[in-house]
Amino acid sequence: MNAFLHIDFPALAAALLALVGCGTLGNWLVLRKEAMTGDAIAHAVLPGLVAGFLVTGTRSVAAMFLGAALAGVGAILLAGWVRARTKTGAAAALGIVFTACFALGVALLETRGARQVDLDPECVLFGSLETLFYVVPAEGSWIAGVPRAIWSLAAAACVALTFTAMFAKELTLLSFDREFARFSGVAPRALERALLIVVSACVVASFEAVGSVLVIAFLACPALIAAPHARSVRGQIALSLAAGAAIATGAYFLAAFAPQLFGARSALNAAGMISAALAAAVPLSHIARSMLNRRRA
Amino acid sequence: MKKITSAQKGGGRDPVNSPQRNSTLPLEVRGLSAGYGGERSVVHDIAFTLAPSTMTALIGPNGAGKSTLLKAILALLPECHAERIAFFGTELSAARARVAYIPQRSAIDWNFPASALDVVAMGLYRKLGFFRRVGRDARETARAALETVGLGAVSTAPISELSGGQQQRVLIARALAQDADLLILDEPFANVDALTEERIAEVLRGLRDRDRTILAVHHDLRSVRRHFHDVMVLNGSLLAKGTAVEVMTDAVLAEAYGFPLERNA
Repeated sequence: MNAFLHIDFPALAAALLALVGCGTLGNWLVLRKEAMTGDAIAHAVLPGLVAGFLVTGTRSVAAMFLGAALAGVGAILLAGWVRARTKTGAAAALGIVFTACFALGVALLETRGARQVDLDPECVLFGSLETLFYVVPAEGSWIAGVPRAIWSLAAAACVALTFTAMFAKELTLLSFDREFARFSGVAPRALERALLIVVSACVVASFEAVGSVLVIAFLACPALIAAPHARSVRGQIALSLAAGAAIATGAYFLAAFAPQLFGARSALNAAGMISAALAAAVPLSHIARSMLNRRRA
Repeated sequence: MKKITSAQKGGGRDPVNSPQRNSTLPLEVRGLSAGYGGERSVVHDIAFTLAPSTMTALIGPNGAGKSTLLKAILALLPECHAERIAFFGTELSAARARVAYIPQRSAIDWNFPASALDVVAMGLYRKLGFFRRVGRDARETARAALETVGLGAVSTAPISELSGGQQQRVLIARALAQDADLLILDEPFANVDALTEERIAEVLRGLRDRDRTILAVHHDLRSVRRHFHDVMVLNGSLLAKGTAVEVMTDAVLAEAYGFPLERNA
């Protein structure tokens, strides 16, 4: 039990907080048929992370966070500009800008020597869930021992939930019928930009702890799992979070403890296992829906 | 071409159409040309007015620019030049609450997780304002709008389970809940059976009788005269405008559609 509290609980809590933040916002992306946007943003923040590292010379969290946030917002504005100036569609404009950003990030990483230091590509992909420990502080309150990543994830989750609660009506309208939204006093472009900025912030805050693979999975999969079964937007968000939490918890324990049952000494990568489980659940959810429909018919 | 907003141009230049008189007109369009940013505009030199409590069909062959014209009027197109577009004597931005645009049914994702009542309640969002939830009053208003279009029984059904005609009526009910005075519809009768078409037409006639003004793109030449009192014929430019009886002549239709009708003309 002690080992669980100190080792597994912080990692699981981090994963679930990232799920609440990214998973909630992912519903709006999926409702807007823009599930790819999450993927794109997760790629776009890379040059910002690297640039933040290069400018300060340390893996200072504040610098990298700021760089990533600027890169995310910059890429979104650039994609909007490409879309307005050319005849490409929204998705294609995003694709152009975000792959370019990612390429820039990789080029920076390779040429500027960041690779030799501490910026581990593996860490970028799979995060650092396994390094989150809770150590009871020798003195002072128990709160001081909570890993810093937990706080930034909790803040991101709060921002995502608050944004969703405040603009639920307007976001629903925007997703369902953009032109009608304008007749209802909603400024579609401003709201779209706000959504993307909040998504970027959430992605950046989740990046360090859970890695880009799991961020992308949390943005797209829970909403895609819930979509075939939901009858209302609120229902879809609730279902996506419940299903996502159940799957993530199950997958975490599978990764942590299943190898031991087979005599292995190590554990599997938790972020990778959760991502795989979420990805597998999407088609299963759709198959379940069509089987239910067939039975009813 | 220089873009002239209706504010710059103003309404009362000529003495015949004084602003006071025009202010009651639900829609007034003059000198409108619009397209999608290519070399040629899709519709050009459009001028018409809609009188209150009328029901007008906008007809024309495929590619005539019917949907383009509607979108241009509603400022949904990037490329639009007009001397004047006035809703109830003022600019669209000041009159949005009184104008409802009902898009083609196919333009909407009907797998969206919402009930019929949810969609109709969207018509009330403007009145509710930011940060306010849809409360009991709003739900009652939405339910009443659904009753008006004959969908009271399916108000809680997911929109994905409604028939095409029911979906069309949900959109009309949303405009009703919004309490709009001018309804602009893009093909309300597309892909519905004859009985459903009759029901939708009945709903629209009922609205007109309660002082709403209706402008609808229509495709079926055979039913124009049955459903609409007034007709505008479009093919790039407006070819004719008047009552259905005046306009729906072989000569006009031959010009618009290129039918081989010369011998009757």
